[in-house]
Amino acid sequence: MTNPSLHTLTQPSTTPQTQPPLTVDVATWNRLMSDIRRDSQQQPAEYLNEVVVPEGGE
Amino acid sequence: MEVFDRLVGLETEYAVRYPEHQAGTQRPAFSTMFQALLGALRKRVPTAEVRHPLKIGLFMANGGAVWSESAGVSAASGLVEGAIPECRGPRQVTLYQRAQDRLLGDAAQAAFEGTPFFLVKNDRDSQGNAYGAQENYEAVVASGVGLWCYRLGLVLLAPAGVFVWLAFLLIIILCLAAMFGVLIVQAFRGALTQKPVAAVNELPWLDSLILWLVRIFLVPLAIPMWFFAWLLPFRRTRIALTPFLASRSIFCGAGMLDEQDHFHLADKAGAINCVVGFGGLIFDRPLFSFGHFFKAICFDIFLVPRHYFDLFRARQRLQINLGDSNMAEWAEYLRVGTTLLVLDAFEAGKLNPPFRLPRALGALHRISRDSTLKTKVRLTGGREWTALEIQRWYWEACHDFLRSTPGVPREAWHVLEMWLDVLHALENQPETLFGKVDWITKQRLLVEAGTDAPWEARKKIDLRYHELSSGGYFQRLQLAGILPEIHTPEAIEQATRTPPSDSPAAVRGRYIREYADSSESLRVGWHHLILGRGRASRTILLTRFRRLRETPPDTATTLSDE
Repeated sequence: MTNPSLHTLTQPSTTPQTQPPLTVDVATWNRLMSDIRRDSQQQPAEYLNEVVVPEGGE
Repeated sequence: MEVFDRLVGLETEYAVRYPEHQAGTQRPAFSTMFQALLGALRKRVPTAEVRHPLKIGLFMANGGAVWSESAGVSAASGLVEGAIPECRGPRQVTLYQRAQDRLLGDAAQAAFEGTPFFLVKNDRDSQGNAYGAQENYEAVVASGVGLWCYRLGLVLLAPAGVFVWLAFLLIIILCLAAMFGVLIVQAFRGALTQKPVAAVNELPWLDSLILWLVRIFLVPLAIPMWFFAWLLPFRRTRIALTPFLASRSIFCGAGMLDEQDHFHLADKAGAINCVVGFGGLIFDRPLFSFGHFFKAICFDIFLVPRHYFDLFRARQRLQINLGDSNMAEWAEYLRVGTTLLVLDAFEAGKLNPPFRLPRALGALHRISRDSTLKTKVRLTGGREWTALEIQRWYWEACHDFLRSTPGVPREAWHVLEMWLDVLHALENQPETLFGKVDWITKQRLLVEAGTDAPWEARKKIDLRYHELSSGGYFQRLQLAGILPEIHTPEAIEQATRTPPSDSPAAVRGRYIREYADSSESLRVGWHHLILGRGRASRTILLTRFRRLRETPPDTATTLSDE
């Protein structure tokens, strides 16, 4: 029997984006997204400047 | 040739991220970071020095290599380039790509004790500079009269090598004069506080000077070379492949947020500015790169003449410069697997598109800019198709090819099935491809982070998605165990040390393991190995590698000593 706390791959295309996309429990998904959201807003401009490549690329 | 039997290799240029605000130190020169990375690699796996007069790097026990790219003379900035060993089939390719990502990502973090730096496996930085992935497929360069015309072209272009070497002598003299001039002025002013070599390493303008001089000298030469590349090598293959390559970003694009906050399916597609070129030598970003032809004709003809003569063979390396650096194993597997199927079907005479893509660059850019996948592109014969429709035509052709071919490996059917599934999902339920297709995964993270977040924060998601560390966003999802994976961690770990058994890398890897701790000199290249020094040295040709099909994989190698 399917664990009701898990979301499966067979979601309809109208699924709201707040739902986890794969077989992941809601708490784990929310924690991950919250971590990424918080991290992405910490000194983003500095992060962009830290990734240095030669002018023109390869 | 059998299905999935050709040699395949991926090259990946990784950007370097040095977190200055965390380390509280000044960013070291790229050359310092790269040498530290090599040091960490030597501690982790058996290695051998690269045998190349112009490159710094290592070959590793699994037969793959790592170089510094675009470091220039000043070595102020650069890219770390990894090349996986020669593989066969998409499963082997993705396994060795994962192994390389792990090896290099870990080595960068271990390079400086206490102040790690990180590798970013993507294709564009925040300034739009392009780098990233290249795919190499062994393929028929031409056949019949076309092959003889191609060989005649190689002969006619050979004198270009003399011109190049004269030009380089002049450039070297000019640069040496400029360097010594600066050092003498610094010494007189008392500003020379370090060794001359270190001082030269910190002259970033030297890179620009040399690059411009090289380009000025090479442009007149590049024109006939470009005409040759456009007209002869892989001509029919390129025509057949172009619509497929221009549309495959719908499932293997890595996604990219541009400066106008517009989301693209593919990271690199927007930077592609020509169909045929030399890979950045004269500001070109080609779909098909002939940089290795250019090097063999103009540089190696005197340095390593064998590389030039190898170009006369009927099977050569077709380099595709368009693909993105995938984080998702699934997308990478499908990118290589579908391209192999298309190449196999074409060379078997079972794939002959009744259309061409006349404005390939425009079509490529338009497809990449539309994440709804509704954009239609004009093909010859009056067709106007979406990328999905183009991909379906190729799927049908490959399906017919496999059905009419005996002895097809199970992996080829698996790729065909996955290909159909992804086309169906893209049309009906794209959200089910989260974790499998990079652009869909990244787009979802951008939505979750908030469409009202500042551009810098959203662009950070775009870049940090690709960081090879536990802080990288893709790796965070992976560590949480919610992404589909093809390879086990144990298989990936084994692939960091063991080469593929049925390719020239098996011989290369075996010698590296045997001689890594030996006092005897071993210099390694893609085509051959050199054991010992001077007159006592022995050359082992990897180009003469042949598989013995009926023997077990471990003994299925032969090679010739010269």
